[in-house]
Formats: sequence, C-alpha cells, structure tokens
Amino acid sequence: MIILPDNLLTLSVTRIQKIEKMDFQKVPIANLFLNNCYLYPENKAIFINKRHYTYAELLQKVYSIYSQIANHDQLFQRIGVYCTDDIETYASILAISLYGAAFVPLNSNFPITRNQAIIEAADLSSIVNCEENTFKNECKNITFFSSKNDLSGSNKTVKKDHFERKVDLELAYILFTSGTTGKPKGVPVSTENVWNFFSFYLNNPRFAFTPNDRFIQVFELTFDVSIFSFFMPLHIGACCYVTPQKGIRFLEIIQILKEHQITVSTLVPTVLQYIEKYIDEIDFPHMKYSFFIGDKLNHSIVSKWAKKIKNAEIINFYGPTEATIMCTSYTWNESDSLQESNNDIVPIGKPFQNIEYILISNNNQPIEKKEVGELCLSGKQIVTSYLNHSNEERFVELQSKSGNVKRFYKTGDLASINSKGNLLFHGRIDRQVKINGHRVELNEIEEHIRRLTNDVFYVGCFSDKKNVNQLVLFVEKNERKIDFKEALAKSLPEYMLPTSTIILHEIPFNYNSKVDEKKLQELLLNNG
Amino acid sequence: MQRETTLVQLQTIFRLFFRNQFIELTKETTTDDIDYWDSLTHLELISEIENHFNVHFSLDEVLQFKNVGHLIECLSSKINS
Repeated sequence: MIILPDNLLTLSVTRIQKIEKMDFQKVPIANLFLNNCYLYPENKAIFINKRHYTYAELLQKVYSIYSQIANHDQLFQRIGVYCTDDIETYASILAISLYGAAFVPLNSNFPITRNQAIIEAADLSSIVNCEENTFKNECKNITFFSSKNDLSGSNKTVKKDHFERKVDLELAYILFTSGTTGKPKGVPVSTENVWNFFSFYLNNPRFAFTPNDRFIQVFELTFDVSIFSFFMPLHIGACCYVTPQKGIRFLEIIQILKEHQITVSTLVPTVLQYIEKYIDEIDFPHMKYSFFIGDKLNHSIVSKWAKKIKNAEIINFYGPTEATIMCTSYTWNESDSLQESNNDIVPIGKPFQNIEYILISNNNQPIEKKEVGELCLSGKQIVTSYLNHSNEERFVELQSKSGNVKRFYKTGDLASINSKGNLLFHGRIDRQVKINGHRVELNEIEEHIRRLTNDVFYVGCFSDKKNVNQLVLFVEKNERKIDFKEALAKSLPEYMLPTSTIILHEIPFNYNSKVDEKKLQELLLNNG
Repeated sequence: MQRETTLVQLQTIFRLFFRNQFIELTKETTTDDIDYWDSLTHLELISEIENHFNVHFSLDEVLQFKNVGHLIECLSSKINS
C-alpha cells in the first residue's frame, strides 16, 4: 500500500520556521509526525516487540483509531489510553493527539483501583486500546474504542486532510504523579507547554538530529520523559526503539542500544548503576547523544560511561512533570564536572531559554547567592495549575529577576548556584523520593499502610549495596504477619512497593525524636 | 547428566536467594515465572551463581540468558572448558 505525499514540505529550514511561527495553542503534538508520514513514508518510525513499523504503516493504525473516535456522536475532551506496551498503544496516543483531545495514559500494570482513581479525577468518558474485560467491567459509563481494527492491507489511501481536529482543547496530556494525600495528583500539560519544550531541540542547531537517527524509549508512558523519547524521533522522521517493560529492563536496554546502534539515548542514571560491573565491556561508538534525567547523576560512574561512548555528547537534564519533561541542562565533560560536582552529584545546569528560576527560603523570600533554597520555576513550559486546582499552594506569585511579579511553581527541590551559574541539586524539602526515576511521595505509601495495620511502622528510601534507592518498610512486631508487599500491590503501582519489609522490636529514634534513618540504613546493609 | 545436576544446584541457589522453597526450576523457567526475579535482583542472582560455580559471565553472555536453559548451556560450557 502506498501513501501519496500530498504536502511535500522540505524539512530543515521549513521545519524550524514552522515551529517559530506555530500558534502553539492550536497545534496537536502529533502534527510533525503527520507531516513526516508524507515526507518519509518508508522510513522506520517505531520498533516495538521485535518488529519495525514504517511511517506509512503506523499512519494506517493511527487513522483506524482516529476515525472511530472522530465518527462517534459524542465529542471527547480527554481520552484514556490503556497502555499495554504494544504498537496499538503508541498509535492510540497519536490518534488522540490528532483528534485534538488530551491523552491520559493508564498503565495496565497498575492496580484497577489506582486507574479508577485516575479515570475519576481526569473525568474520562472514553478509553482506547483496552481489550481486558475485567478492567472494562469495572468501568461504568465509559465508551471503549478498539485499536485492533487495522486498515493495513486495504487499498485505502490515508490523506493528510482526513485528519481533522475535532476538539479545540488546549491540553496535550494529563499525567498523574504520586500525591501526598494517598491519591494520585493530575498534572494537565498544554500543547503550548509541550511545543515550548520541544522548541528547545527543534530550534537549536546544537542538536543535529536527522531522519537517520535512532532513539531509545525506555520509559513507562505514565512517566513524562517517554513523551520526549517517543515524539522527538517522530518530529524529525527518525525511528523510536521501544524497550519492553517486562523482564530484566536494564539488560533489554543495553541489548537494544547495542543491537540497533542507538544514536540518541535518554536514560535514568540508575541504569548505569545496575550495569556498572559490565561497563568496561561496552563500546557504543555510534551514540551521538547520551541524555540523563530523573535522578541524581554521579560523576564517577558517568566518567566510566563517557569512555565507552566516545563520540557522544552527554547532557544531564532536570525537570519535574509540572515544568514539561525537562527544563535545565548541563553538558557534561570530565574536568568541569569533576570540579563542579557536589558530593559526586553532577550539576543540573542552566535553565532552558523559556524558563526563569528563583531560589527561595522557607518563607518565600529570595535567598542570597551560594545559599541553598527551594527551586521555583516560571515560564511557558510550566503548567498553570494541578488538575481540579488541587495543591494551589505550590504556585506562588514572586518577583522575578527582571522585577516583574510572576506565577512560579515551587518544585520542592533544594538547589544552589555555583560560581559558573550552574544549578546544583541538594535533595528535597519534603518526603518525596525518586525510585528509578519515578516520583514517590512516602506519605502516600504511609497512607496505604495505615489502612492495613495499627502497628508502628516507618517507610523510607535507603541505598542498597549498589547505592541504588530502594523503598524499605520497617514494622514493629507485625503480629498479624501481614505480607505488606502483596497487600499494597492491590492499590499501589509496583514502583511504589517496598523492596523489603523488616520486622523490628522497636523502631529507633534519635535525640531529636525523629526516626533514626542512619541506624536503619546500617541495619539494612548489615542485614544483606 | 551434568546439565541435570547443574539444574538441581541452580534450584538450590534460586530457593535460597528468593527465600522460596517452592521454586521448581525447569529449562524453560523465565523471569515471568518467579516472583521478585526482576531488574533489582537479577545481577545479584548472577553474582551468586558466579560465586557458586566459580565462573564469570561476560555482558554478552548475560544478555543471552532468556531462560534457565540458556544459563545452564553457558554454565556447562564454562565448567567443561
């Protein structure tokens, strides 16, 4: 089947001009993908579950989903995608985007109760790509669209103007992060936020991406970095290689980096910690860009990695979901990073062009240089509020460096600025931790444990022998012999489950009457 | 015969490592079949196996382990060499 090009845009200059002139509020984030389907129909667009799909093949799948939604009597502002780690999941996201609605990823590995909480909070009335009857039966008043009615093999030509934006919603997607109250918290991200984020790459000559590039996509679709890893290659006619979510994940990642000679990799730093033992055996001369995001990056380990990716530029990014994927960057090099790293932690660098930041004290006052303060962000990538206007206290009016009063998002991350003007990360002001890149509110886990037991307990984030963050639950006595991991799995996603549960006679406290984490850490390491 | 002995030894290692006396290994066993055999535990498990058999697996070898059968093949070639 051949798709006739109906709009022969030349890439390069035209693409850049297009981004600059774009009315950000009106353009679906799948728009450049749609252009590329006619520019590069035979290029490989995506590799998933051991096979490639060309842009033309992917477009067929997208259109079959799009046309079902578009032909429905009802208009849908927000549409759930039941994420099942297959081509249909990715095609569904593209179809929803071209339809003009916001997509809301629902992870099929999450407990049903958690997905129901998301459906309710996002006020979803339709879901694409769910073939699971047990899930469907639990969802009332939802219209389900199948993604399996494939038009491939038919002779029908899909033209660009077959895609008409049916909904004029300004939201691109809604993602849910861990919330302190025991319920997930919705972050509604607009198309304007997303295009401002992508303009950092698309308008930047420093990123010489081409249609021949091969990107890796290792993230769950409920984690916003996946949107960069998936959409960035499709914006430029390149190919996205999706790693399976099951099995030994970091080995699958290494396998794909090697086998498909990936040129642009975006990983969480924990991958390097897992493979440290084998780094010497790696050689990836084909890699052009190696990006890290989602957690603290250690200088010592990235230094070893750098020797194995000799032709790559290494960049450490930082960005909460509320600031749309990434908003600061630090280009790594051995000597500068050695000098600038704080306790072996690589700086998070300088803000993107669209981002303004300010560091504040705990009474919302700007702090002096070199001091550590809470990082607050403002600019076109920052969401205007949480879903349903919850947690409004995280958004504050502050005087920016230019003297104007602007709305800033309080990240909860502690940072300082070094003499080179780079931001350094110093941890959190609250009990939010990072587990393999995922944001986890310890208070949310506690809330769920409280529903199971009256015993005294403490849940914390501790380093294991490889210095990787792990969630550990300490419980006094546990006379009812509850299997906490199993019980919590009914309501929390896997990354929020304690890796181990340790039963103690008494949880140790220090002289400040706080739980003695140092003692617990020692206990944990001695326990093996 | 030797492969069967290796399988029995591996089963003991797996049972101790995952603290689960009910694990029954076959050549077809994969990560999907055993609770908590995941990214977090995999390399530690490999280290336990390396120590027990006094061998070292390269990254390429580790990447090839798709089930217990592959692991036994690789171990057997090392034990016999």
